[in-house]
Amino acid sequence: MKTLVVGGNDAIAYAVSKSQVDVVSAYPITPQTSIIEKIAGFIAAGQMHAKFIKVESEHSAMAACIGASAAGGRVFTATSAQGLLLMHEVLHWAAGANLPIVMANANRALAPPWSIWAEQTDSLSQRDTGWIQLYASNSQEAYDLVFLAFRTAEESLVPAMVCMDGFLLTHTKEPITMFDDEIEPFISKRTPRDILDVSNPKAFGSLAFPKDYMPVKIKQHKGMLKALDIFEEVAGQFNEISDRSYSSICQYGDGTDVAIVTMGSIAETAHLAVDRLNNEGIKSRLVKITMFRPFPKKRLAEALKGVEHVVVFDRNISHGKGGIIKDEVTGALGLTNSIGFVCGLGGYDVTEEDMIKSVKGVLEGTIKEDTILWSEA
Amino acid sequence: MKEIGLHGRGGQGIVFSGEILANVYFFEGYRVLFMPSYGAERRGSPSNAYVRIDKQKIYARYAVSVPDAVVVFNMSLLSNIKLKEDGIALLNTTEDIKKSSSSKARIFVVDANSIATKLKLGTPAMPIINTALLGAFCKAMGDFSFDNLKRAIEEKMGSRAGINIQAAEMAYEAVREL
Repeated sequence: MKTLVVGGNDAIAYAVSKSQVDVVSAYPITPQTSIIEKIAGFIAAGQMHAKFIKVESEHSAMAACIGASAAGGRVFTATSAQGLLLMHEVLHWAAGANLPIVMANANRALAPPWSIWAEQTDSLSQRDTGWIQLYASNSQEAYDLVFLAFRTAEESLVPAMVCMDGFLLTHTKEPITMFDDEIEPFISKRTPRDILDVSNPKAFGSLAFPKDYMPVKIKQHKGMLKALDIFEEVAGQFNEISDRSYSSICQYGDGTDVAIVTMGSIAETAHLAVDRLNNEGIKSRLVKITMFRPFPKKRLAEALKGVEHVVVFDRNISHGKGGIIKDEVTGALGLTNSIGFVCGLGGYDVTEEDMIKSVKGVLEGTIKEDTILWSEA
Repeated sequence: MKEIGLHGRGGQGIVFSGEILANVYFFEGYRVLFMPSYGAERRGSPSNAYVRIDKQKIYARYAVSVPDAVVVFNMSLLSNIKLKEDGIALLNTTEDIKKSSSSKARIFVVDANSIATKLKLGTPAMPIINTALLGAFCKAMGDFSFDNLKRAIEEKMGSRAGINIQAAEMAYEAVREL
């Protein structure tokens, strides 16, 4: 293993180069582009033995991934924002066909107005496509989650996306510890699955009448729920070779006055908020969501057990409702003690100061309902 | 934690010098976070990059607002640059500037353009001054070794490293504190 100062996009590309991928198909979009540029470079230099399929759009990129995955290949793509939205229809096809494709998504705000900066509304609006969603809070996690995504996807037969905040992770450079050959036994494990085979012809995507459609969808739902435990199991194996531990829900601190719940790079900053709140005598904890789909309800309930106030920070918005994570957390656990803050849209900064002020507002009773954090409002 | 701001114009190698600086501090045993600020970048428009360094893990994931130290590649940007009261500023200038008597900041000046022009780095209209400024910054900061700067330039620049290290050495000698 070696530690180098690299960006989140570089980290993803390095991880993919060690993942024994057969096919990559992608279309460039800021702030994802340097992932596929670097991968294309690895392939051209013979450092990666994969086929790169160039396409004219993200819809076609996912279509190419579906074909390659159905033919039995290990497949990767990367996109962001508008590109992910253009894939929307085919995302359902990939998940419905049980194809373990892995995708990196650089979380970027949606137009209009045009923005290239961080926001999670792009991937969260793909919530119901049947893809596993993993969120990195720093670039070491982004690197590691690529390996976990391939193994979890292949063992559960559910495609997986690894999401990372645009620029805050994709273009920020930090020391990342990367594997040489230590990852090989972990990543070379492949789960046998049904694939297209000319000597044993089968049909994919045929018409299903209501009595057949329902059972297929029930099977898909139950299969996806299995990914919850598969992820933890695979993370355990990963821990043995890397000494880095992952779980669908990660907890920092164990204070019971307040739990800060969030996802992505804001969870890094939240460590500082928790430390300062604890220093001031407000007993706090951070509950970070690494896996958003399937939703780790049980582990989340354990992490929030006995907590007086749940404060959720959402770098996303469902217009006409509010923060998506807040809604999911509150709904899944039937919480009556949660308050949500929508913040950081379009890459707007979120500091520990913002979080501390919000938490204090909730504890002091001056903030009684979901709020949009906007200093200039 | 220390925060360093690099301020120049598109084409001056601001992002690249930030990356070198992050590597230098990493070699020195620091945790680093290098954050280039991206927008509608183009040649000549203001370009900024920031480096956070700390002996512990860095958790802050938002823009640097008031750095502990700044490198000013282009004096026309000075009015938009923030610095802590007792911070360190390295200015690339030929002007005979005076430090205000009330200022607690440490101000260093160097004429990086002349050094780059002398070594034929870039063109006289657009000299490439980033490595010279890093050499001067090494002297101004005093918290990283020139050897580690040399190593980072060698690792990132390959065959072009030699002349850039020479520029850094010349600026290291030429920089002076006001």
